[in-house]
Amino acid sequence: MAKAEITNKVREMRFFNNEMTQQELADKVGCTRQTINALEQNKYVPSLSLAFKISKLFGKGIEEIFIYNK
Amino acid sequence: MSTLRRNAIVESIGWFIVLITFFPIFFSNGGAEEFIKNETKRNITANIFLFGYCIHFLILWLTHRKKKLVKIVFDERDKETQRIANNIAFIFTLLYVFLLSIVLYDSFFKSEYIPVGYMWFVGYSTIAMTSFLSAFIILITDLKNS
Repeated sequence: MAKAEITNKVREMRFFNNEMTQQELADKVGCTRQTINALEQNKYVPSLSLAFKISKLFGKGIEEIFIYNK
Repeated sequence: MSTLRRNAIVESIGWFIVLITFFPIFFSNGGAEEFIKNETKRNITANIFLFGYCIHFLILWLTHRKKKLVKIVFDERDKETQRIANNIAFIFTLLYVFLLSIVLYDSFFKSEYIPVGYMWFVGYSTIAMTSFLSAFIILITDLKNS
């Protein structure tokens, strides 16, 4: 898996949503806790489907959570 | 620890045991020529491989059972890790078979024939090596990406 060119604000969003745990977020979007952890450390770029699920869960647009770094 | 990593550890250990048990059994007391004559050796080898597959199917069954208890066992990242690892293991398997063939060719070049018992070795060792490498490379890839 390539080093992430896309960073994200998932950790921040969890914090502002009643300090949701990684496990809770993982269960809600249908992935493992390890994937959420890798996402937050920018070690993994999620699929479009997972990115949309996360954005929808937090009620934000996809570009507000996932930032493309040129 | 993720299910993928736990499975990879168990499977690596299982197939490593198969490998280190099979090699001495095959090469002890006469090697390939003795292997085809000695039914006990072939039965022991078959049972060792049965052990390897039992571990494999046990892992599959436990994972299937876990799916009923836990919502998500494997996700897209695990599948991506598996895909990368399987591609690498495929290349290593090709290399292993090629090198093994060359070694056999080189060893028996002068006598102009290869003892037919080596076909057992090629078959069994390729299965064990591929299974071990797949699991081991999944483990390495997962550790690298975590």
